[in-house]
Amino acid sequence: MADVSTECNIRVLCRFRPLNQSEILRADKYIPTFQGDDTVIIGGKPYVFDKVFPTNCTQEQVYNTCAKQIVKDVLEGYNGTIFAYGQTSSGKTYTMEGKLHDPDGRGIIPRIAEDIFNHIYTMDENLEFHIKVSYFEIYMDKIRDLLDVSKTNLSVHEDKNRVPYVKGCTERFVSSPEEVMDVIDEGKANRHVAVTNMNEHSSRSHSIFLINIKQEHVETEQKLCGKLYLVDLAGSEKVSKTGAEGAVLDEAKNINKSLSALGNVISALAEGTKTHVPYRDNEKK
Amino acid sequence: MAAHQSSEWRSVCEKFRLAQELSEIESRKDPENNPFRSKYKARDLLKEIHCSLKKIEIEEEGEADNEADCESREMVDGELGSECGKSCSGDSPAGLRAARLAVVQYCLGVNHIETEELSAGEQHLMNCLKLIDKCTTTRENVSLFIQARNQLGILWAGRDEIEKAQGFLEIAESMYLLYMREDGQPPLDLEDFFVLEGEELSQQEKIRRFEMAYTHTLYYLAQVYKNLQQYEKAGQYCHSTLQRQLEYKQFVPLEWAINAATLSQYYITKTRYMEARHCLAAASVIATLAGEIPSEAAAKESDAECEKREELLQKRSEIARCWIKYCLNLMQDAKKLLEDNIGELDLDRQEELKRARRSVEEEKEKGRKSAILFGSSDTFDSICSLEEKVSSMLPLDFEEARSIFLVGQSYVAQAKEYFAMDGHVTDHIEILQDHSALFKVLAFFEQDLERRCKMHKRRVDMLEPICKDLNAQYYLLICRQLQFELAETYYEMMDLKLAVADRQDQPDVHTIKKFNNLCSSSMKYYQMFLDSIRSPEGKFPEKLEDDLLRPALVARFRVARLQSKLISSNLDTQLENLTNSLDSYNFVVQYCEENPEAKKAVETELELSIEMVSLLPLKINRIRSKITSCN
Repeated sequence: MADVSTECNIRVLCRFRPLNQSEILRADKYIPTFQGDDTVIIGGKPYVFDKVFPTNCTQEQVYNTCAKQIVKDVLEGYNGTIFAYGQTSSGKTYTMEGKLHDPDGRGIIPRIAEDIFNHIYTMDENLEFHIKVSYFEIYMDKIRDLLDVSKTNLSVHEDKNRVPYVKGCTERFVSSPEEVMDVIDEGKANRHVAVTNMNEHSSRSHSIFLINIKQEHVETEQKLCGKLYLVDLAGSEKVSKTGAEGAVLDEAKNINKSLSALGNVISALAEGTKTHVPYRDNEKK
Repeated sequence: MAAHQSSEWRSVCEKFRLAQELSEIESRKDPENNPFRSKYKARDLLKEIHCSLKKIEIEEEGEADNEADCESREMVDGELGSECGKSCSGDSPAGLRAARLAVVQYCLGVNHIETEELSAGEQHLMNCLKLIDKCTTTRENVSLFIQARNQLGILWAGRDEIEKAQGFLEIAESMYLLYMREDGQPPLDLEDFFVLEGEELSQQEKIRRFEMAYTHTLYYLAQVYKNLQQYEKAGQYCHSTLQRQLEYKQFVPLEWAINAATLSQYYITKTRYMEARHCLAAASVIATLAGEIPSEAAAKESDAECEKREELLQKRSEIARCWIKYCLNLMQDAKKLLEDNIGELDLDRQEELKRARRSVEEEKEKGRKSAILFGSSDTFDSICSLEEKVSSMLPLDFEEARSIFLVGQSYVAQAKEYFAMDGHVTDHIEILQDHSALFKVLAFFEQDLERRCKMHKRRVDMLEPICKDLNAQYYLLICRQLQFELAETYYEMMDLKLAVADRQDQPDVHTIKKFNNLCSSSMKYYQMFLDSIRSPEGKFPEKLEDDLLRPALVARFRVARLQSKLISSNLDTQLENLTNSLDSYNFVVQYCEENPEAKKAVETELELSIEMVSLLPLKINRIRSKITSCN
């Protein structure tokens, strides 16, 4: 998160969902307890984050704490990223998307979409905005354009004048929150297209939604550009267990079955300031 | 056995085949919400097979004479069959029955592990071990012996019990070595237990699979040793794994090449250059097995060719970068041995090391070499000829250093082929920094000061345009590195020019101008670096962060020295220069007073700064009085 007052700010927020139907039927206990607004205690051990959200927090509260400021920053030309990290069924989708057409149940993304445009309408009349969105996914070293499934091997391009970017990715101009949500729907529908092993795919592919906001002052011609990345780190728990070929050496301690991961073992031995460790497949810069 | 031809047996074999297919092929298509569907089906089939086998066993045991089966053979210590307590030999009917059941237990074990039921998996694997451990180890059960222990190794490592994992794997390793020494016959593979007569795997295939199992043992041990922080062993086992992959043709050329190149980097960290060179040479040779690089024209025609070209170019460039590090480190390690306490080549040390080199034991070298050799007969020669192009011994004089430098330089060109500036800024610049470092270390070996200066000039020519062009906002860290390096390089050149000029009686105007330019250039870049640390409002930080502390203070110190070295005939200019110089020295002294923990970082510089702070005011006053007396 780009915080204006300090140079670079990263915040970690943790949200807890209530027990779901099957858990209640199973008579599962709800084990986390909360202390203040930044600590959760599980099994007697406290874990501290920048903020914790117990089960009674509303979508609006979560949005206001996590994302509201980021939207403002992006509109001032800064960049921001929101990562969603959690096991399947932990409530990631509810937090990030929520009930899309429910004013209270809406999640972070629809609120961001709406907020962007709300802000724009209140800003200086002389500012001209161009909002582009891209949606792509990273899977096994390849970047796939989710808005154009024929583009399956995009690469990260570095240019001396700008930060690294995904070259060749579709960019759609949008002019309303509804259009933003339409793009997301389209991308989501494309995620599992032409995938041979769905389990592995959903647990090891990460989707990235990029909102690129350029503004230009009509008179002064001053330009600003802000980027907002929404990263969905899917199925974090499944990585080491799919048993698929070439699985990434997830935890340092686990043995990796597949010989194709020999490279990871060797790379770990070769790390150092005097060496060049070749860029491996299965990782992305 | 009559049972083997019966339709019942046929259906058992078919079930086994189906279970394998479900586990390995069908399972990939299982939906996200039922990911183990096929594996559960496979499990049921395996359980049925187990029941059928038990039935057959009862029938067969009724037929055979039990005592005959359990007769133990003549045992001799040290042989495969010599372990006490074996109730039968592995190749007896009872042994075969046990092995067959053990195979099912093994498959069930793996099945449970893959469906995240580790305890059940462990149970089945232990059952498997119990069954075959009752028998002597023979070609019937040795593969299972090893594979079951491989799986148990992985399982226990996953539970964070690395020593237990190590135990299983090391036993598997010993058994392989023992078996190959004592017997060596192509062992039965798991599949061989559930085929109809005459449909067993070929000898070749049996061997291949068995060797694969052992290759995995070594590979898992490499990981275990790495986790136990026994890095030398880990490296050795990685190396063995690579060797075996090549020997049994179990490799994908590019992947193997990259792994070998990466392993070379590990060897570099251990200063084992002979091994590193071998890995790199092998990497380069094996990479060519991936095919010709499609031309640009071909790449334009088809997507597939384009992708192939990209991939091959990239891997070749990655390997080239590893070669560059080899050459660079080899030269830098030599420099460390040869330099005296002011960083110059110590001629006595050079003599000493040259003498020592002549008496290096050749036999030991050969032994070390043969242990690590890669390759089959076809690649061996190519690997050797590539190795001959560059030395693996520390260079002790300019000629030797230069020849390594030239090899490094040729790889720089190859590395830049893929990692062009446009598209790969960070990588491209890293390569340039390595190239600059190659020049820098070569300069150390060059005795002629003018030629040395020219080498530093090459560095400046390489890095200056990039530094100017790069967007400082997005590439802050790299810009700082380049600025600092350029400043240091100009500084080095200035010092060299000074040394050359000192030898002349009266430096001419031309030399003075050159000298001042070098001073100014160096100052300019140190200043740029210092400015990059300022806040957006232009304020220099009160307290420097850890990673900027030494560079910033050194930069200030150098600026101070440069300012005092500028040559001018004009008194006012001299005064200005010395005053600025004093300010800069003062900054260093004051900062260390206000931040005492900084003193350690810049001990030498601080000492000199304190001296200058007391000496310079005298010099300044002298000039001031000269000025007033002139007016």
